[in-house]
Order: sequence, then C-alpha cells, then structure tokens
Amino acid sequence: MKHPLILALAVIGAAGLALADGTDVVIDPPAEGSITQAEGLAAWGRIFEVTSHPRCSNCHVGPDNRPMWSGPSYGRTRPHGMNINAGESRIGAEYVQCQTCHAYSEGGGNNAPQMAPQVAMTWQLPPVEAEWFGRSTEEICAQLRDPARNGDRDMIALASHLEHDLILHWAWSPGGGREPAPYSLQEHVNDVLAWGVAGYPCPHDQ
Amino acid sequence: MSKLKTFTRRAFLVGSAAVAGGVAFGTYMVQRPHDNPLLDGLADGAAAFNPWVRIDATGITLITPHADIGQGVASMQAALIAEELDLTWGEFETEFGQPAAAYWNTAMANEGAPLLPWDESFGARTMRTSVSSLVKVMGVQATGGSTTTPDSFIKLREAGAMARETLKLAASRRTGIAVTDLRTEGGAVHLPDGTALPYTDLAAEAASLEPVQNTPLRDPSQWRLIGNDMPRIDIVAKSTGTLAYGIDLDVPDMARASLRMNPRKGAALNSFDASAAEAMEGVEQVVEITGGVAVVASNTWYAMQALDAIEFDWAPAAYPAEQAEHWAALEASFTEERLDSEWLNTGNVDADIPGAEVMEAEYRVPYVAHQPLEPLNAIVLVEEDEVQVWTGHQMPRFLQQQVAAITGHTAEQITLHNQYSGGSFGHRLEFDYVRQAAEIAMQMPGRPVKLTYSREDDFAQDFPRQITMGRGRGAVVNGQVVSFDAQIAAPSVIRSQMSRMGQSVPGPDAQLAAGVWQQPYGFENARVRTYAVEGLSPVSSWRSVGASANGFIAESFLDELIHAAGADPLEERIRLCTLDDVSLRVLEAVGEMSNWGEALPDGTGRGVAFVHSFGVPTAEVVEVTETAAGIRIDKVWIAADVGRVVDPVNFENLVQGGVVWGLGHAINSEITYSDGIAEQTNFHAHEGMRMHQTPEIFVRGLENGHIRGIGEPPVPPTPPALANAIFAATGQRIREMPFWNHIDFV
Repeated sequence: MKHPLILALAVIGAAGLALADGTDVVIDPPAEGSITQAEGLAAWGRIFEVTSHPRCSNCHVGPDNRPMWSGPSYGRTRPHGMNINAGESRIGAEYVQCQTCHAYSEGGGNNAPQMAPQVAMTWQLPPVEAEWFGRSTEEICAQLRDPARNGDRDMIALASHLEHDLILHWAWSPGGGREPAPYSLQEHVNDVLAWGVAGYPCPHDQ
Repeated sequence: MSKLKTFTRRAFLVGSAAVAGGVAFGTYMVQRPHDNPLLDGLADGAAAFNPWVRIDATGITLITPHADIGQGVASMQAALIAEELDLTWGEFETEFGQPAAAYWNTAMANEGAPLLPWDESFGARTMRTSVSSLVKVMGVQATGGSTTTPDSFIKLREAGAMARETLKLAASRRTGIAVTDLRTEGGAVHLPDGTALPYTDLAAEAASLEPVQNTPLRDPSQWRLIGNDMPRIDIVAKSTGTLAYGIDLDVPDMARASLRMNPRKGAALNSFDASAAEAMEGVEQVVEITGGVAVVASNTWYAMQALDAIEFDWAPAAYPAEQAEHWAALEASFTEERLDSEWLNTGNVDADIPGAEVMEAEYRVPYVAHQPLEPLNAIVLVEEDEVQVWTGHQMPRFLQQQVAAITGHTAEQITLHNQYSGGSFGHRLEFDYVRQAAEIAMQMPGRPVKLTYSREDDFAQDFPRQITMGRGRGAVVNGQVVSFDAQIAAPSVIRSQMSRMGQSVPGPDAQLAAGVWQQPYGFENARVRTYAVEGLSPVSSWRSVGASANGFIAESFLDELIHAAGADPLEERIRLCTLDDVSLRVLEAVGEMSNWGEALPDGTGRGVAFVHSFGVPTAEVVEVTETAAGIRIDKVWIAADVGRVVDPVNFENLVQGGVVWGLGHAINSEITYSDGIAEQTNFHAHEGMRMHQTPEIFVRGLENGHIRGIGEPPVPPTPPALANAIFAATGQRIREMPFWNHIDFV
C-alpha cells in the first residue's frame, strides 16, 4: 500500500498540471517493492542520460558560475558566449542578470535558432552542489540521492520539482532546432519514481 | 568663352597622377580628361570647379566618391580637400556623388600590376603606367584594395587648391586687389583690410571663371588638418544611432521584399510551391527571379516568414557537396597543369646544402564569410526612362552596367544614390543583391522595392574568402634560414569575382601569391609558386584578399624554420630583410615597441609576423598566456608604414579593428559545406571576437615609404603572429585556421 503522503501527492499529480506544451505530468509512483534493483538501476541509466544531456547539464555547472554551450546545435563545447558569469547569486546579479536576455515571454520566445530562450520568470543556474557538467554517472547519482546536496528532496519532491518548474519543462521542448532532452518529461518522472521505489540504487553500489 | 576654355572647364585637369597615363602612351584617349559630372544640372550661381567641390550661396559641398564602408574615408577625403581649400573642419557637407568616370581610381594599378612594391625600375614604372592608363580609360571607379588614400592624397588636395585659387581670382575681380595680396581662411577670402568674403558669397562669380590650374600644393609644414586628429564627420550620427545606412532608408510607397536563393550558391531553382506563402498575412506578391524566389510583403518580417513557408526543389551545386572534397581538390592541385605562375626563383631550393636541416610543413586556411553587420540590401525603382538605386556599393559604374543589363536601360539612365554601409570587408564589391532587387523591381514598374536579406540568407549566399592550402619546404644551417620554398593552392579570387561581372582576366592571378612573394627577405634560395584550383565554391575578395591566407602560411612556416635554426624570431627576420629598407624599419619598430627579448613569465609567449600587403609593410607582435581556461591574448604591438598618416586617430582605429578582425577569424571562423550548403548559418557558428578576449593593441604608423592605405594590411600578419605566440607559450604549432579546432581560448 502506498504511503498516504505519496497517495495525496499522486492525487494532485494525477489531477495534473497542464504544461506549456499541452501535456500533463502525472506523479504516480509504483507500489513499494514492485521495482527490482535491476529495474531501478536501468531507470537510473535513463535518468543519467537526461542529467548528462547538454539540455540539462549546460546549466548544472560548478563554482565558476559559467553556464556552458554544448550539444548538437551549439557546435563546439565552450562556456556560454559573451563572457557570461552568473555570479555567486547564480542569477547574474553581480554582473549581468540572466534575465537580461532570458527575459520571460508568454509566447515562449524560444522557437528561433540561437535566440535566448525566454520560458521562465526567473532564469538561473542550479546550486553549485548540483554540478553535473562533465560528471560521471556515479557522481551525479550520488549527488541526486543525497538530501544534503539535492535540496533535501526524496523521489516525490524530485518529481514534484520536475512537475512545476517550467524551466525544466523547456528541456523537452527547447525549440529553435535545439535537441531536446531524451525520453519525455513524463517518462523521466516515471523513472525518478521507479528509481526511488527501488531504493535509489547507483552504479557500483556495494 | 573659347572652345579650349569650354573643354578644360568641363573636363578639368586635376591630378598629376591623373595625367600620368599619358606620359608613356601619348594617346588622346589616355590624356583626355573625363567630364566633370557636377556640371550636369548645376544650378545657376553654383560653382563646381572640378568633380569634388560644389559651392553655392547656401553652402559648401565636398564630393567624397569613395564608398564609406565603415573605414572613415568620407572624412579622410573631405580633409584632403578642406586642407587646401582652407575650410574649417566640419563646416561643409559631404556627398558620395554620382557614378562617374572622373572618379577613376588612380591607385588601382599598384595592385593590378604584378610588381614588387619597391620596384622602381623603368620596366616597373612603365607597367604601372600602362595599367593605370587602362583603369583611367575604363573610368574604373572603385573602393577596394586599400587604395582610397593613395588615390586621393594628391588629387583631392589639388582639387581643393584649384577651388581656392579660383575663388581668390573671383575676389580679385570683384575688389581689384591682386590675387597675391589675398589670403584664405575659414571658408573665406580675406582682403588686406581684414574684410572676409565668404566662399559662398563668391560662388556665382567664381562659376563664370576658368578654374585656375596647376597650383602648387602647400608644404606639409603648413598643414592644419593632415597629420592631426580629426573627429570623423559621421561620429555623432554613428554614436547616437541616427546615421541612416542603406538598410534604414524608406522611399514613399515602397514595397518590401526578401528572397530565398538556392543555398547551393549559383545553382538553379527547379520548381517551387508558394501556395501556403501566398495566403499568409501581409504577403503581396511572390516573384520568381533568377535562381530563386522573392516575396514582396507589407513588411520585411512578413516576407521572411512567408519564404519559410515555400517549398523548393533546388538543383544540385556545381561544386563539391562535401567539405572534405574541397580539401581533396586542393591537395590534388600542386601539379604542373594547375601551375598559375612562378613568382620567385632565386638560388636553388632543390640543391642539397651540406649540413642543412630540411623541413616541410602543410597549412590550411578555410573559407570564411564576409558578414558585415548590415545584411545585404538595396532599393530599386524602375521607371520608363530612369532607374534609381539606393544602396551602399564599392563599384558604382559597374553597378550601373549590371542594373542596365537587367532593366534594358542605358547605364547613364541608372542613378545610384550611394549610401553609408554597415561594413563590407569585400561583400559590397559583389552585385547579386542589386541585380536581384532590380529583377524584383522590373516586375513592379513604377514602385520602389526594397530587398533585404535575412542574416541566414546572407550567410548562405556569401561568396567566401578563398580556401587555401600551402606547402612549405625550407632548410636551415648554422643557425640561419638559407632556403624557403612556398607553394600555394587556392581558387583564383580575381577570376571568380570578375566572371560574375562578365569579364575574364588574362594572365596569372597576383592575389594567389599576395603576402608571400612580396616578402622582403633576401633568402639565398627562394621559390614561390601558385596553383589555381578550379571547380570549388565561387569566392570573393575578403579583407586583404590573398594575403589573408598566404601571410599565415608564409610567416608560420618561416617561424618554424627560424625555430629549427635555433635563431630569434625577430632577429632572424631582421637579418633576412635585405630587399626593402622601409620594411626593415617596420620590423625594428615593432621590436622596440614591444621591448622584444625581455624576460616573460612562465606560460607567456610572444610571436612575431611580418607581411607586406597592398604595398604596406606591417609587423606585429602578439603576446599570449596559457591559462587553465585556455589561451589568453594579452597584448599586440603593430607597426605599419603608409608613407603619411592622414588622420592618426582613424589610422589607429583601423589598425586595431584589423587586428581584432584578424584575431577573431583566426580563432573562431570557417565556412564548411555539407550537401553543397554552408553549414554556418549565423554568427553563433562564425563568431567574432568578444570584448573580453580583446587584447591591448599598441599601434605605430611609420612614414618612410609611399603613400598607402591601411584598411587591409593589419589583417594578414595577425593570424601568424598569434600562432607563433601560441607556439612560444605552449610548444604547440597550429597549422590550420580556425585555431579553436586545436586549442581553447579564454
């Protein structure tokens, strides 16, 4: 039987939040014990494909606070142009705010090639603790299951984070010829939940 | 008025350079001056003593017919006229003027004739005169090849002096005071009693006089403007965003168009389906033109959007589809069959030199795009007896011919309103965009049509810089370079460009060897050969043309030889520089400026390069530091000899701009083809240099040589100086542009 909290969230999730692209995210965790360790690891493998994809990892950068440009539509992998530095604030308050170019536009403003995507009210880098760019599957997995480094989130909180943060939805519909993150947002949420139900296994766990 | 007077007044006799052609030929055709275009339709009471000065009661207008593509030549031309005409800076208007044979470029022969710049032999002078005569008879009005200053330097001062003396004569007639007792200052003739007669007040009387010819030019010690800083006449408008470029112009009742051509440049359009586009908002008309389709709409954005909705079936490219095939074609071109010319052969580069170490290396220089910030655009209005064109262009008279060929008018019926251009770098020597605008306008007679390229179409249709491969072979012995053999394979820019103007060019292409064979090094054994590669992408003049690629090859390879010899890069160049004393002093100057030889911190290195291009010896030292984030370019020192620096601030700005341009392209830029289409569609994939990457740039202008221009010469030494600096800092030798394929930059 599902945990009451999970059930409650599942109900909210099932009610669904309409996404910008018209789809809903449903948070419906598998029954406890229904996911084997191997299935959990397979789910993690798919999660890693997402977290290490340029659409996600370009912003999950380290303490130099410099977002990256990489992936099929960017040519050579390099730091974000214009010498952009998001600062310790991670929103560029010390230099040029990310919002200067990534201004929010109700129309999305993200469908032209090379245009600064304008899909969220605030555009910012994730915390330094969530540095993913160039990291291994073991490193990202260890980070993502560590409450001290993942914003004190369990699988439901992670899934919920994916559900309501519009900047993350953009990763699956980036427009402008950009390559989207693999799978779909719903599949990714399902994988996170499956991984959690399986006990957050990571490769090379003893 | 006598018949002779009528002739000279119409024809004017300005220019010792302008009449030089007649000395050798002695033919009427060459000696005959061109008509003064300002006299056509000149208002009563207005004076136009020659093609560059028009004065009436309301003001003074200086005609500055060279195109201003951002390099500041409208100011420079005006300064030369104003210097002798005693005008206060800025108290005059300027106009680009109409296309006219009178504005033929007296300096084009310097680059048109395949001669060493320091060759002053009788044969060389005769050849220059011969080429110059041809340029004059054809009335070639052109801005390019860094020729504006050498073309203008004497001619426009003579024009100012002629106007000044004619105005003084008018004042003398009015007052009865001898001309020798009159002086000029601040746009007025001053009488001995202190009375000032403004030129504008004297214009009507002066207009009735025979212009005074052959006035001696002022001694440089009397110059007020030349050699001093002058705020560019466009500086306020450019700084405040109010200067109207061609792309900013509106003509009443104007239709707006954009186009889509076969992205495989020059190939045909098989068919298209515009049914969806025709139904889109704002679309007025879909027009087929040669090789593509234009959409005419109520605004340019609607036109561009509609183009994306058209389905096209394009013909394949006439050149190889894939980039690797382009390189393969170059590799296969070092053959006797493709030999275009042997430019230099002294000693014996094939001889075995006892104790010598022999080295070989191959270099690659990619296609790059021009990409001025202002995308191509033109407004054309076709009417029964006249065609008007508004655009920025560097070859006004050829433009008239190109448009006339489409519209069926005579060239004289084509009026060009030349505009300031937001950059060119060679792009506005091409005619496609004007021809296309004319084709669209032909289908909408009586209505002006403004054609504006999207940035993406501008990238797709650009004729890039020539792809180039260079092979060096050389020998060093006893710490010295003793043999230097360079072979260059590239498409001929001149033939490609001229073919689009319907002209063929006889003889070898000097641009294939530019930047290599003019190097002033007295190698014991030296050879330079060039090979013309055919069948590749059409190419076009790109800022510094042949030398932009060849300078990198020549000076990188020389640096490798010097390193192998164990010699100092600057000292060995100075030792070798025995053919031209002016060049030697430039090399010495850059050494002094940079304090060459001083100890540098670990990880910091300097590279030097010297290239002689467009008659300008230019030496450059680049300093870089290897950091964890990549190569940081710290400082650049650059010295060039242009004979006389007309405006020190503009000179410094042009040189600094050339260095930044050269660095940015060396680091970041290339055009590659896939499926016959340029893969780089916008600046994100063909980046300029960023502000934070830009080094301090220290500039010195030397004045020992001939009068020359500085638009292009700072570019060629920049990539090799950077590559040599990277080698000095890291030990990594980069033989291929763009460098970021091989090393990271901060």
